[in-house]
Amino acid sequence: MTVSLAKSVEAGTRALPAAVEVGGVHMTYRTGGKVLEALSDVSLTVAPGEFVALIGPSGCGKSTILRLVADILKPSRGVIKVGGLDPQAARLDRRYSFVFQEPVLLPWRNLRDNIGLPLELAGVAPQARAPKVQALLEMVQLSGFDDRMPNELSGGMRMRASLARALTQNPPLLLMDEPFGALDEITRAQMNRELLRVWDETSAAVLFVTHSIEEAVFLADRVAVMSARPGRISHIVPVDLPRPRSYDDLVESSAFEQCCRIVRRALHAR
Amino acid sequence: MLANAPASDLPVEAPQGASLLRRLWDRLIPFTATLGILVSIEVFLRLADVPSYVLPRPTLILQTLWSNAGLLLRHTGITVLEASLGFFVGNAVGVLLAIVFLYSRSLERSLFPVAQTIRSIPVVALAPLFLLWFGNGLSPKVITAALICFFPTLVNTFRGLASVDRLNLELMHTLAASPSQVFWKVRWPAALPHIFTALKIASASAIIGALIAEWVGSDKGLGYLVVTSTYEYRVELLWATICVTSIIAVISFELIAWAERRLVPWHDETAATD
Repeated sequence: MTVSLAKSVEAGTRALPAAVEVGGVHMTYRTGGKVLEALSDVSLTVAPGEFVALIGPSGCGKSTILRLVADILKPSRGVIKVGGLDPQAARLDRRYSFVFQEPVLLPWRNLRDNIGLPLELAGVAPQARAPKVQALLEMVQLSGFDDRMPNELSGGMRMRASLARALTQNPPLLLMDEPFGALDEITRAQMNRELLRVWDETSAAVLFVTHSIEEAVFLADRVAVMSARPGRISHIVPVDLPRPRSYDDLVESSAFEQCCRIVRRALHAR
Repeated sequence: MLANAPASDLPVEAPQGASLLRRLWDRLIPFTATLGILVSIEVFLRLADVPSYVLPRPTLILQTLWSNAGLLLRHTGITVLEASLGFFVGNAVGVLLAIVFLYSRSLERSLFPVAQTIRSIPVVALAPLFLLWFGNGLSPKVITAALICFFPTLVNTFRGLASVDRLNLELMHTLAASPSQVFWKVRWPAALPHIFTALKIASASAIIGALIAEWVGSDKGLGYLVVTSTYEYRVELLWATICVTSIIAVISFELIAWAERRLVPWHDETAATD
């Protein structure tokens, strides 16, 4: 009911609702009589197809924002819309994919069945899943590994598989929670390059949590900078770097360094 | 575990090239040790001239096994049937109750202490009661075997179903999985290694349960054979029966270990890399 109602409202009033709309969200936890304010009056909009990075010190609640959008947590106060829908309706309608900090592959499934999992859960027949899974394996350069079990793969390969799984249903929104945080510097740079290449082929909006300034600036159209205790968005830095972005050319350019400097200042401003 | 994974982009290859001779030797080592012990016992008993009613020589036991093969096989069949039925019933109840407990915390909190109480009564004490209630036939043996299997399976299965990685559940949540999908695609496979641990314990205890019930009251089965051969002072036959029970215990354990390797192949490998 709510889904169809929201859809008709969306179709009637505006052509393209924001991929994510967070308005005046507060998040408080009660632990042993103490009230902990995790998020205070957070507002953020991600346009359709836009790449927004969320950066901040640890414990500032950046992952909490992502979890609220993904309907893993409920806000204490405020409004959240995902493509014009409530987070729960958006989740049940499979409007987003969540990429965790760890690959979260099921250890008893080979790569093919792990990547095909979202389709399987949506009731797609195995024959119909196969070509889609093959195409995705190719996209993340894992073709030929479809029979491998997760524990036979390296960390970078597992993360690419996790990315492929997130793309199986062509969601209009990707929610990424420090997906490359556990990887080493070299693999991480490679994953950043691949993410942008893959993202260019989709029209998905991305909300990307990171604690790396370089990663945020390289990937994003806008960087939302957070401060801690209580967690809130203190600055929004637009990244006016041309696309497509080439890692090697860009990271050494002065425009890139200028951008990083602005984000760094915002991060350390009190 | 995942954070410590190799970060290079090469697939991890299993070590290869252990020579055939070496692998053959690895297989034979347990047998050579057993054989060595048996030979030393044989030599010692012959040299020390120990009478066979105290400890019969291994070769004598072997002879008894051979000459009483028909008798032993007949009684073995009965005990194996009792133990298998008890194994099946006890584990089925254990697994089903674990699933019920998973979805109903109130049932878990009310019934788990009951299960624990029943478990704390020694089966040896309960077996005569079952004899009184159910007579001299198959059912008291099956019930005793089932009861002895049931509790470890309940505990292990419940632990396996409940100890699923939180991230796996969050993943299923974000993929809008139904409760039955979460159960069959995440909880059940995650619990399988724990269930097999329980089944391996149960494989031996089901046989013990059947034997105990046969001791208490029966006119057939290996437990009955143990009792009568003791009373009739047929020490060689007693030893032969003991050998047969240990052989069926080993075979049933190996059968389950084999099934585990087939059905839970991922677990062995993760254990090896941990």
